[in-house]
Amino acid sequence: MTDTQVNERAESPASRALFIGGALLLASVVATVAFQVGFYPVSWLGYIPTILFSAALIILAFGIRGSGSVTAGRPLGTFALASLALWLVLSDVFHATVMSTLVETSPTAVVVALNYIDLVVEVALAVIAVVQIARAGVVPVPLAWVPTWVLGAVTATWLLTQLVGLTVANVSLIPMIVFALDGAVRIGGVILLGVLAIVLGDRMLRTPGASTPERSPATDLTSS
Amino acid sequence: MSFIQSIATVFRKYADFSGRASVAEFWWFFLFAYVIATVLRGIDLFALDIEPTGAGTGTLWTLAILLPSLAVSVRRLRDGGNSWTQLFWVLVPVAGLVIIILRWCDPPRDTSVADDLAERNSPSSSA
Repeated sequence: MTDTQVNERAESPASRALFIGGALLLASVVATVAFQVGFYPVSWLGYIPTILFSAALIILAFGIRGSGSVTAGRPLGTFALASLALWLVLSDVFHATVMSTLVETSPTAVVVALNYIDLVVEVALAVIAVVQIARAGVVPVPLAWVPTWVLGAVTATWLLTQLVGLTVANVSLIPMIVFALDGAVRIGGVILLGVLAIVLGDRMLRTPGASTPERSPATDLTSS
Repeated sequence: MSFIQSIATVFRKYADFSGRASVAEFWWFFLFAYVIATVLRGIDLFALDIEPTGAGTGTLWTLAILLPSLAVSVRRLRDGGNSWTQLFWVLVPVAGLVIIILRWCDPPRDTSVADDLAERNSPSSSA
């Protein structure tokens, strides 16, 4: 292998997209933790974790220079991932501006309904995105299903927190464990996805010809 | 490099600051260390009733992996063509951590390492 070949590989847009996407996911975790411990002196800096996370989703959806998309550039998956990224940012802005006014002026039912609509849209877009990632064939099996597992785990622990909040007295140890588990799964899930993206980018860089996403026969059938 | 191989390599090179570490080796170990730390912090908090700021099994784990973590960090920086002094970015809150994460993601810069990997990946070497 020559120097030129090494440089060409280092410049591979597909692996670069995965490296940057993964790094942004990890950076969003750092920013989230800093936000939770009250590091940010100015309130608008609280948008940073969501912006970093959304930027990661955009890069993973579209890739760089059309290469490195985890959905293999398929319209449905790319649209879902990009829409989720946009929705997360808009939702944050909406909660910080309109919702804070609504909480004071509108009935509780309206606020709760808006929160649930927000949640349903987020979950629906995320489900479409993770299924499309699993079926696109860019990420090798079984790693392709990891985003689905992470989404399942995050949803399950969130549901547990809702159930525990309704049924168990707050003085009990169980709510504490469930809420800690929910936090760990949310943070751990993003870390897992970030690390997987980076490792996958490294694998593409090192395996000749792997930077070109290959579609599996099954997904080709469904997409045709 | 697989998940298990990465962890084994990091512990085998416990205090080895020379040489290089691949992206996979570093990040698989990072994930492993995070998972164990989270589990131990949970045990400390709920089973041993130790406050998150207190010294428990999580703290012991952190101390145990301090040296190999530093070693693999330095080796990863070198593999990506960076100086070990880049590690000082961790001292800058938030932004420094983001910068060092990006540095740890840098692809290998050294031709001989890439040659070695390509040779290992080639069909003739696996036959």
